[in-house]
Amino acid sequence: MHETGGPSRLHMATVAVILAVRAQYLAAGASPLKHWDQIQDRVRAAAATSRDVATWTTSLARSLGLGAPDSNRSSATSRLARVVEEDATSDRWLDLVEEEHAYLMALARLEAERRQEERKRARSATLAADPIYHEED
Amino acid sequence: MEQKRYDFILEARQPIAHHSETFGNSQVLMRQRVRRADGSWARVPIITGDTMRHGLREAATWAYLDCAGMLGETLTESALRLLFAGGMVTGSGATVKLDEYREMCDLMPHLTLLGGCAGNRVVPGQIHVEPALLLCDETRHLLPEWVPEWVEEQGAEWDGARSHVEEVQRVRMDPTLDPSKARLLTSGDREGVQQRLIAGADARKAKNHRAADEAKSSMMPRRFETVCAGSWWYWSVTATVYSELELDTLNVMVATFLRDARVGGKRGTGNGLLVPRVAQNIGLARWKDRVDTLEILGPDQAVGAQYRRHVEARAERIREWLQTVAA
Repeated sequence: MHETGGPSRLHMATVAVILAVRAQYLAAGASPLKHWDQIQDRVRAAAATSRDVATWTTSLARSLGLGAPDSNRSSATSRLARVVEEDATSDRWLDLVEEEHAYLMALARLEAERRQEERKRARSATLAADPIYHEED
Repeated sequence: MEQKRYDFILEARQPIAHHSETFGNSQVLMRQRVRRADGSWARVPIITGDTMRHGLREAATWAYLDCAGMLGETLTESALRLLFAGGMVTGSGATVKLDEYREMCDLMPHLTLLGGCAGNRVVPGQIHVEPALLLCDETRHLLPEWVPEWVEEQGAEWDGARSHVEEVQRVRMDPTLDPSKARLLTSGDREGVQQRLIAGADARKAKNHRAADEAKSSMMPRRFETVCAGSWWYWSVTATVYSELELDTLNVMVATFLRDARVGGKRGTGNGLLVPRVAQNIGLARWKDRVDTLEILGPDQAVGAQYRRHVEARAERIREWLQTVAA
């Protein structure tokens, strides 16, 4: 399913759901040391036992003990369902998740790190622009 | 010479937990890559041919020992390995001569069919045991025509392989967490457990995840995939037989195996039971007629009568031979 030339819309839409799930999972008290392993395991297992995006996201959320989706997870899930409908079939997408789950997790981790860097830069820029940090200059 | 092929549809009366590997604490089912009719690929749960073949060998061996009157007797390690695992080349002693090989086949008719390795001679088998294939959308085009017809007759619908798979969780409890059981500990160990619990609580409160991990209890949740109870599997056995005795031996193997066919892991906790639903080229006793459950090889049973007579007549020689066999 993976084509040369970088991740597809399917990959990125799936990654967006994984990141939204991760954010809620960490907020619920998951171990920062183990959560990537746990999510990867659950992503693969959910793909092996589901029939479409709806059952996959439900299985994933249940196995991680997540509550109702927040707005971020809701919109990511809804977008994934739309992309799967437009670009593939449920079976093909589930094949992709099952066979490429390590690649999806790598993409998710890189995206998480990129966002974290972005937040750090934004925070630094805010601090630099704040006059309180220039009082002694 | 005659080639016999028996086809079966087996029904899982319990979930099937036949696993291939473990990720973390999750066991995943044995799957086989299958090309779909449209050219795309899928991975579908199977019960391997090795598992089914081993089931035949084990069932045949129990029947063999029963017929030889050896169920209460002891065996050498070599004999045990030969009977239950087909033996191995030990490298000790010379290869058996042809006349000894012929006697070996005569003494162990099921070894002739299944093959094995005894007395440093590799005996090729005469039987082909197929893996059991899950009846699902992905395998439909691989099945003999009568199978989809039979499914249709049952009014059953086809579904994808994923719909047949369920993931379940089981937990090994930590008895030290139960105060009434912890009272049974020696004072030193009870103190150690208390310290660990306090250290864990403190670490969680301080959000020190590494320390919390080190102080965690031995309670172990583990997950494993199963193919759901009620799933149907297609399975076939083909054998080349050269005599009535070999045909009877084949029937004994298949009948004794299918009488209580259990495959995969977790058998001790309600997994793995398969029963035949329908067969081709061989009769299948209906459940209501299964009066032979405890003695399928009884003297009045058509299946196995010749086999039993053959083994009974050679019981003494079998006993001697098994004591000296290198396998």
